[in-house]
Amino acid sequence: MNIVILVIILYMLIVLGIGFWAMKKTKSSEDFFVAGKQLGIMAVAMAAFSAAISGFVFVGGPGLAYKLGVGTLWLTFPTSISFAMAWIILGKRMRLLAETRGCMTVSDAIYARFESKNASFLAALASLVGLVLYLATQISAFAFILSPIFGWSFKTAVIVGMGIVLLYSVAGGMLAGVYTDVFQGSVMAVASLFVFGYALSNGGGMANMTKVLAQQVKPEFVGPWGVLPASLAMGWFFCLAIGIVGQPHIAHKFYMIKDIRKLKWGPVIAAVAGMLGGLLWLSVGLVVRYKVAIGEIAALENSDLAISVFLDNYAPKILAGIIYAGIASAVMSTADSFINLASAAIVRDIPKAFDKKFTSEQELKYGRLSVVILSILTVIISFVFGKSGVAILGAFGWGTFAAALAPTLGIGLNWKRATKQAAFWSIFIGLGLNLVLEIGSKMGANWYAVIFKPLGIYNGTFSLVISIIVFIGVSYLTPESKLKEDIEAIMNA
Amino acid sequence: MKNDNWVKILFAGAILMLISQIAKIPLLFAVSFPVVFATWMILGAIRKNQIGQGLKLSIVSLFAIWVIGFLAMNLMNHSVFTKTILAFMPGTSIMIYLIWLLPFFVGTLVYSLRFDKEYLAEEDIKAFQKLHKEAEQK
Repeated sequence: MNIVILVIILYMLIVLGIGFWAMKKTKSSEDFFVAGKQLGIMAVAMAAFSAAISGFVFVGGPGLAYKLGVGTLWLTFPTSISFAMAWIILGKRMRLLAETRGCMTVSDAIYARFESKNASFLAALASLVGLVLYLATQISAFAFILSPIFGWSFKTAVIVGMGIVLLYSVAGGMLAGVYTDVFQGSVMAVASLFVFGYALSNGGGMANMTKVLAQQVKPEFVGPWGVLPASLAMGWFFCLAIGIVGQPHIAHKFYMIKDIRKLKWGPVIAAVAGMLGGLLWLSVGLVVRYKVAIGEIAALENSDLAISVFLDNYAPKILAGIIYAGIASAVMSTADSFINLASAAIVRDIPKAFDKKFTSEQELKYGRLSVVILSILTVIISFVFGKSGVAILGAFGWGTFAAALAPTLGIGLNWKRATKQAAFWSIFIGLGLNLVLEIGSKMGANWYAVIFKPLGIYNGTFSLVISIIVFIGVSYLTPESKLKEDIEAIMNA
Repeated sequence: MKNDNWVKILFAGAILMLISQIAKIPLLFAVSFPVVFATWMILGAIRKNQIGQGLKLSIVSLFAIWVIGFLAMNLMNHSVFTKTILAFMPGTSIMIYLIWLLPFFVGTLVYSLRFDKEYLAEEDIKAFQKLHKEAEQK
């Protein structure tokens, strides 16, 4: 355990060092929110991968696989194609918007396209809600990983984790997040490969684990759906694939690219890194369940501890230290992205809807203040919901963004007939419906149990599909607007 | 085909997805969501009302992979363990090798390899920069 703590501290020092270096380069709100629009493709691709994956894959994922089987991988398998989807559907047009309109947020893009304050305000609100939920996921993942290592309670670990992110985010903004993403994303991608190797060797190979788990648990556990209904598993794949188009923490990365030509290799880099994370998810969850099935270890009280159990018992200490530190810093840099985006929603997007605009210096100052307020809110949410499970909380956030924003951004930027009324209603219904369904599900509401639970569907998918239908339907029912010349040029490019 | 027609197909696909979820028909879901995926990608890939041959082939291949793969998994029986194929149960092998691995090569890699010719050519960038300068001068 001493080697583990040593590696964690060393890793953290490197990451914090990068963070403070970034602080010195952060002089304007453009630096704070979009890293000065000066990034190369490796930085953007690794930032996109890290924003998408993070604590969700490395902590929640193995836990879900342990509990529910192979079918949970549908949450991460889209990575082989979803980044390409985002790049194809959004990449070029978002980057051109940054160039022509100075867009820094998703809400800016929606305003530029539709010239609707209502739609952009709702987009900012949707971003804020989803980002805070996602942030709570990251901090909860951090707490799960580090509390047993340092002997802290879950709540103490949440406070420590949020405190480090706060320091980091106030200082360096998006620059800090992105450059640490390159470092820790690269380390985690490679380390995932080693973890996969150790997991396979400890399980006697994948074929052996498959056979034993099929016999000792049940065959469905290692089948493509796991112990889940097929409709839920497919729903996860759908929402986690195309829903990427509505994720502000990914769409926003396109603004940061220095040269639009750099869009070329981005999805390959991000997809490879994501797929390596998927190998970790698959192998760790199964090998820990295998060890329980053959009686070598006791059943886990909390499935999110699967990664800790594996690293503590079956991986070399240095590798365990790297993974723990990597998870912690992945959480921190992803949380930094989220908190800065949420801060941008508060100091730029929402005031803009009321015709209020701050100067760059004011945006920087208020941006840092809102980071503090959001941190406190996140700690509260983590205390209340963190124990529900890291991956489920992450799915809540992803589904909310997908339903609220994917049609408006993904279809709206590629279809001239789309109208501002459609954008407003799609965001409103997507956001509202998903929140109502998720809260109903989590609170065990009777109406949810009677109407939706028997359907065996993923709320995010259901809400996203409704949002798509509303977006296209309302567009056809409302008058088409004339596009500004530069927006038309962007949509023709 | 113009954007409008692809949007109509996407709309139809979404409605079929909604029906499949409410009526609990996984097979219908399995064939309707690839329609939504493919048409959405087509909307993004269209450039000057056309899609390049490479991207077109890529999207058609992805559509076929998803339809065939998900239909097969839905039709198979996963409650009995008989054998492994490439280390997994047969249905899981389809999941891993066909649905997860193959789209990386057929989709993601093809996008990067065809980028300069079919997604964003140098002349487009120059034309756009010229338009941007003219707009700034106004």
